[in-house]
Amino acid sequence: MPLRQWGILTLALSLILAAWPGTGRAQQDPRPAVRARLQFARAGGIYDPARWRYTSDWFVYPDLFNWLVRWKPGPSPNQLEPDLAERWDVAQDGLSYTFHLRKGVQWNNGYGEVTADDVVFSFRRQMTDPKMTFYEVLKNVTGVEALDRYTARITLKDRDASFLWTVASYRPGFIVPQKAVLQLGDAFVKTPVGSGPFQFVQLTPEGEVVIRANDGYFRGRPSVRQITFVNIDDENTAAAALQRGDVQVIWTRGNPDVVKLLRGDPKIRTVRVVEYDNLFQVEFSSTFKPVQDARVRQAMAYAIDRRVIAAALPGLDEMGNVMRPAQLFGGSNDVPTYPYNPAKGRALLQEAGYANGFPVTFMIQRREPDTTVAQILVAQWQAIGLQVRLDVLDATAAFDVRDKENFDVTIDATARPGDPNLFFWDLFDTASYPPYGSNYLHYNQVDSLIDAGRITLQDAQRAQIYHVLQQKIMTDLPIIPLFYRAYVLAMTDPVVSMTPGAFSMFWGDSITVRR
Amino acid sequence: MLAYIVRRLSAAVVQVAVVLVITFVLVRLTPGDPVSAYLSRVQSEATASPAYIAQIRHELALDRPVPVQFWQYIVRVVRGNLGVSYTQSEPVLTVIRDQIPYTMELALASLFIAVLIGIPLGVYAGMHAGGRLDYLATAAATVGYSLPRFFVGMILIVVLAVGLRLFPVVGVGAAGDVPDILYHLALPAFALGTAEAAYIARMTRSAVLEVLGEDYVRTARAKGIAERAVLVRHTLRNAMIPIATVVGLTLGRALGGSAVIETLFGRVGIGSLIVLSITERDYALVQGAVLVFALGVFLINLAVDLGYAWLNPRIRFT
Repeated sequence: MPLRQWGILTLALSLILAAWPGTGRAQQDPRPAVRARLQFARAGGIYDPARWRYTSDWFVYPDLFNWLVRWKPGPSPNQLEPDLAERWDVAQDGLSYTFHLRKGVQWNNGYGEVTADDVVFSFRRQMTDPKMTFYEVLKNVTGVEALDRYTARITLKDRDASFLWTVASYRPGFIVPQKAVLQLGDAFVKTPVGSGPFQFVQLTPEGEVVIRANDGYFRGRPSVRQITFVNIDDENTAAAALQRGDVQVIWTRGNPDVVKLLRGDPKIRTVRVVEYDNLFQVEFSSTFKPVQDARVRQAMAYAIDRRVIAAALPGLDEMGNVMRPAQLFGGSNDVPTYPYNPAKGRALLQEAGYANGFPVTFMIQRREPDTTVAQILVAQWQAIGLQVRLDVLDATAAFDVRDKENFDVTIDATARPGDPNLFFWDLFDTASYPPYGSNYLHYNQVDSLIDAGRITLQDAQRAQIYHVLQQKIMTDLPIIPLFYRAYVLAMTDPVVSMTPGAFSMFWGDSITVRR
Repeated sequence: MLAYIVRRLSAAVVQVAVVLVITFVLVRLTPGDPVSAYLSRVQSEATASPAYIAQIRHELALDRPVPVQFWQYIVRVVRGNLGVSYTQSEPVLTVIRDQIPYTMELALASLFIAVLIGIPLGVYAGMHAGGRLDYLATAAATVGYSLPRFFVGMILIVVLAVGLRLFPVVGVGAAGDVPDILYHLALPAFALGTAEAAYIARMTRSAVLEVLGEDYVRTARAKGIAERAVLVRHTLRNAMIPIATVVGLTLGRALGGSAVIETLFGRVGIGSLIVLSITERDYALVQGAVLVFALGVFLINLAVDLGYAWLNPRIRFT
């Protein structure tokens, strides 16, 4: 083909491509369709909550399913509210919970009404099959029975004041339709049916998750007709996609430049959400001798100047120097703290017999803000005489090293929402040594307090127990609290607002749109 | 030619076996236990029992000696079974079959752009060697080849997508909607294609310059044949063999480069799948995807070699 014809063809193709509208077809439903970034972008594709494995899937679950009771939607769960159960009773001995279901709530796709049999089925399938994700978690549940069509009772082996918060309204608590699960078998994982505000349409081969409004939802009709969750791994790309209008809602964590960019765009609305029950902390290994001495851990805490970290993460994480701040139930600020004081840190090292410091391998996962924070900590610990070597690993290698306790010091985040029991158990109980939990130092001083906090049913007494517990752990300092994680929710037209979800939960029915 | 093809295919078996061994060994030398990767994301909240961990290890065949694992893997591959991806909960072949069209369309589109820009630029530079435009074209090619694809992609996003709003940032377009697919393909293909265009331009310029110095070109010109005919019939045709080699290599490199571009533009495909499967230590998926890439590159090279005979009938395969 002559060169000139090539040129004309190229120009014509470019013009067609440039002018092509790309999206938009006439729709009967006047409500807009919204595209949102899938948080922790990853193609998980497991939509049976009992088989949950990937956080990105969890992001979608609250739009598809309901619990018996749920955390009131918001950034830090501090209140329970009715979901499928319109009310519930707790036995005086705290060993059984009776849930009274709403009448007339329908499963999507014509699977009938939600009944107590579905509740029984949802729990029993997880309690009897070791392959289910929460099989071990539900070992404290001894029985689930339907008292009548709309009443279900769950019986526990041991009293657990956190049951409603961390079981019934959290990971294992989603209710699924018995008939659909039995009928669909393994296909339920990819074609789930729920009772939530949206119904699952498909996981496209392009990796997008499409859900459509359930107009019969018992809390009312969602204001958008469809939500498509899009996998965007790169933070900068996600921000650009929002600015371009390819997506209308994104979450971003750990990248202050992206936050600054979004805040500077007049077309974008941003909301900063601090998760006070998502702690970012320094962790110590039980295999590293120097840190077995509490004075060494305290010295390392005194060396940390959180103002430098805050300056490196503008608009994001909220600095903190206690394990669980007072604004959360079971939190306390009236505890020993370790404000920046490198001279005191050096003195403590000398007292512990490490006047010349010691070599330490600081293992971190390659991600933000870990790398930024780690570089600051290395400099600050070197300033009190430690010889720090930074070891940066990818996620899987870091998991492995942590599980095998093959590190000296590391940093990580622990998000255990709702009730303090799970948080304190995971970080400080002797039953929570790796690889099953995050008690890397093998700390063993507060088991009885953790147990007491779990089996005590009165809130005031529990709060007092957790206060004493935190005074003890802030003295012994098995971990050093650094800050509470924050994310920025950013929206553009037609999305006007939405309720920021706690812990990777997307409340699609809270979206309001510009008409 | 048939004997040649059979011989090349036999060699391919050896090459693929080497790729299999290297991938199998490398993925196991990478730090990180796949069972930890499988469980770690949930185990603090859903403690797995030792029995369950052992069961997963058994299901992934990781409780057997490595040579046994390798032998079992080879036997499965020979039978056309690449195993099951535990991260995707599907057979590896199914996952690859679903994703490969996206990578192929990206690679082919980037090749199209690379050829569309690279060959005319190279021919022009060769035809006007030493001129101002030759220097300009050479400089443009050098810059284009030097820029990382990721950087080019980001610039395209900022300028053409966010700034001018001409193209989308993410996605692959609606299935079956060809214009929408092309619309979503434009930026990633351009980002992937520019570096290759620069490479093709450089090679084309050299090939054209070499051919222009040949006696038959001088003779054609002396006979008074129009310059365009000299270019098309005598110069380009004879310069095409080295250009075809470069274009073949370009397609192979585009497949490899797809990982970065797919990740940047939020596209699905084999490239981003390999990144994910390495991150998650999904051995079966890494091995399967690399095997498919290796076969793809081999087939491209074979097609290029066979194309020589079509471009130059004097070439015989022995």
